[in-house]
Amino acid sequence: MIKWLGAALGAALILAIMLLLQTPAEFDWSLPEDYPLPLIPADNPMSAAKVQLGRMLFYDTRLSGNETMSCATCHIQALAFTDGKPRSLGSTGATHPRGSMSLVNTAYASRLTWANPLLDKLEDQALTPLFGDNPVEMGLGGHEQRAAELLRSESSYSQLVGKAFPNDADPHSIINAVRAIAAFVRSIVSYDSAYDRYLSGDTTAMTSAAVRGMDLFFSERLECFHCHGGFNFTDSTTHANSRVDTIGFHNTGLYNVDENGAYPEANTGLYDMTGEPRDMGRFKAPTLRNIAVTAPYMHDGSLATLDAVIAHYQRGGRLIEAGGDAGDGRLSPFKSEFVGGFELTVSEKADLIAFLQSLTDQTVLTDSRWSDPSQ
Amino acid sequence: MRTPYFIPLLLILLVSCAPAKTPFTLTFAPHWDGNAIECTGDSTQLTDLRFYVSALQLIDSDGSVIDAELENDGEWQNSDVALIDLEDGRGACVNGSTATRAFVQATAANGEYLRLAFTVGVPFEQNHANPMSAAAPLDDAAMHWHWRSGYKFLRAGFRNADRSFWMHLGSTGCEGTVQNISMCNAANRVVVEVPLESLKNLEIGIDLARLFATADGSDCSSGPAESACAQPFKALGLTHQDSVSDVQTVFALLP
Repeated sequence: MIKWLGAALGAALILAIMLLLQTPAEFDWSLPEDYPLPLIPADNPMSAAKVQLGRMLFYDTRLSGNETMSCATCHIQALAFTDGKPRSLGSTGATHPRGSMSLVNTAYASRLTWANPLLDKLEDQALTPLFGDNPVEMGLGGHEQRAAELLRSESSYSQLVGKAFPNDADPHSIINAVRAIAAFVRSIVSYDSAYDRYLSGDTTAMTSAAVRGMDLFFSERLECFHCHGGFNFTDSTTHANSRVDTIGFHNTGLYNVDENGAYPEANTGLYDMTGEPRDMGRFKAPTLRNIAVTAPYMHDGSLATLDAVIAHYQRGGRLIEAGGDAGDGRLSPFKSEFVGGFELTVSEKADLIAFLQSLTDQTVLTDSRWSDPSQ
Repeated sequence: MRTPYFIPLLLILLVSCAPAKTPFTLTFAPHWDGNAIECTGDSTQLTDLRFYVSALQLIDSDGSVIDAELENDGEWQNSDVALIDLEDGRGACVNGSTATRAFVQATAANGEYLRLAFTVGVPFEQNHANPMSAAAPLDDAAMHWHWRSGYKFLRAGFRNADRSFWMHLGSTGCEGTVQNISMCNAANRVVVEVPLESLKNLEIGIDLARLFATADGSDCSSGPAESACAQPFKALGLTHQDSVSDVQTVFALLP
């Protein structure tokens, strides 16, 4: 009897140890229960050590060629990881044709950047700002050895790299640095706005103006939600339980420079990638979470305020009266059928803006999980 | 009488030792209107000139096409593709690298060849593989085009007192997702074919005055919307929007 009990206890103990060794600790997303889990690439599982390593690298200016900028230069936490500029500036002074996008909830983005149907993983996307040279962003190309050496020689990095990539024989590589940055960026999730608290039952979380604005937002009259729908307020959303890969690119009638719907040559959106005429001016609908802190708006920062953005959609396309980009976007043959224009009173506009402001999540803008670790 | 067993063996050895393959070197040189140019100089300066060479072939009098073999040196060429780097980082080549490589080293079966052909570009399979784990010469970050998924087959640029221009050439209109690309609607690989007298002293001139005959101001990143791409694409024998071309005029065998 004692013998049996001993054997059973021993077997249970061995089983427990095996389970402990084999099951990596679940990453703590701290998400609300009704929020879906993000989809994680099989070759880059999340871990606390990896996210911490990525956080340090994200804020390290030594990842740029001339050591003047980090990822955080264009992705500032207080601005929902945008930079407040119409178009971003690279480390050598080159102007990017488009503006810095929010990194909030990129874990749920089915496609990354403004208009790229090919990019579906942060690990691949991160290579463009790091190494791209038209325009130069961080300009790390040619300095790969220096960056790998940083991981190996600096004690704050070298120990963490081992913990983040415990199965790698030589974990001090650029590819692992990129994986860690991707894991950190993926960890930046927003779920604590007034709107989220309102949805979870706190009816006092949103003002009555914001509630009225919410009804307008989700109305067929304004049609905002067709492209900015779902929990992440964009139709290019995916998550662990998604059954389909939803990807949306839309022409909103922002430009019509030749009366045939053309956008300015440097920013033709999806068309630049595909060469299909119907793709002229099609861009991804970005998430509207924290939209009140990510001005200026649109891919090229050409609308300064939420007021101007709503006026653009209210008119059903933008009219540019003079200059090289002159044209009436409302008449573009490529415009989305959901940008038809609508009537809106002054007070309704104020309500709609109040709703958009209720999507601001102070937690994601201030939480130390995503702040500069050296501060 | 017994035939000594070693005589046929010796004959076999002699035959097999005779070289059945000829090594040869294909050298490249940048030109402007027939004159050599560099990153430095008083008139026209190179600002960039790097490209990949693949599918090196020789064509004999029967029209048979023989694949030449690239020697894998672990640095500038693997058995499928070679990197040519004609900028030295000096002068106008501010964003370049100091290392240079002006030639492809190859071998071909012995034969009488009338023509030589090669492709400026990276073969499809290697073009869309993960660049972070690629071996030389596909490990050069400056040659990868992460957001287009694939390599820059050619980086070329010049400047002079009148004008300046640069272009990056690569496949566009690709379908699928990064590392899972199924096809590209505009492959944009340049095929060069030149007549040949022998495999000795092979030098190819790259005339940037032809590549950039009228190109000025804005640059070309191979995008379909970029009207500035039309002229250089035509010079490379590539189709760009309404501009159709199938014969390149930039690469020529030097006498």
